[in-house]
Amino acid sequence: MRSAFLARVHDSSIAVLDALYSEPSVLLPVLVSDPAAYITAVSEAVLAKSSQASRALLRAHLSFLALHFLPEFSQDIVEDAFSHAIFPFLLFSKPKFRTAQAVWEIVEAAQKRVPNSGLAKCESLEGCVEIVKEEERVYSEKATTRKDKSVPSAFSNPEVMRRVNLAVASRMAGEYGSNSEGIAAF
Amino acid sequence: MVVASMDANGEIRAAAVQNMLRTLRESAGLDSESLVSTLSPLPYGP
Repeated sequence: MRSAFLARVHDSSIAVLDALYSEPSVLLPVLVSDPAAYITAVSEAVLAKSSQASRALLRAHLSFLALHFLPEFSQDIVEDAFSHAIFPFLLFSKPKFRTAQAVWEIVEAAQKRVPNSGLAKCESLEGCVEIVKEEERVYSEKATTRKDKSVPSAFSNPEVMRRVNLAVASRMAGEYGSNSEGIAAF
Repeated sequence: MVVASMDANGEIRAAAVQNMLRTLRESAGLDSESLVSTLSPLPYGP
């Protein structure tokens, strides 16, 4: 039964993934008995070359993973899933900034919806959403001051991308202060 | 033509997945073999 569902995780049709993840309360009990199998399947699916072009596929997989699957598990499993399936998409680059932005939105939504487990308790992510939000806020404030309406997203700005990537990487490496003064230092 | 065929196959696979979830929801006691059979025959997927 589980293997039939896991086979569909690799499907490249968004219609199939929408169906697969349409009833989390029904699917979840099938997957929780072997979390490693699902994490491996999702990691392979999101990193597969064929799915790299589709943000919709990535969003479907990572939304279920972050919002429904990971809150059921202990921190070591959350860290494992984070490092294999989520982290590869978190850093901003010019061609991938929309993908990174979408994944940060999923991370933030998961942390808000389930504040006591899952990604909210992921040590590697501690304080990272706040860094991203603060960089976005600072950029937006400056843009408002300049009355600059030409840039649709703070994260399309190369300087913001660089600052966020550096701050997030430093935080994950344990070298970043927990207050907002740290942000100003970059 | 090929794209239309791929889309159609995706819809068929999606319907099969929905059937499997529905069966799972409605028949908690149903054995795994019967549930897996709801996925057959599936068109070749990626």
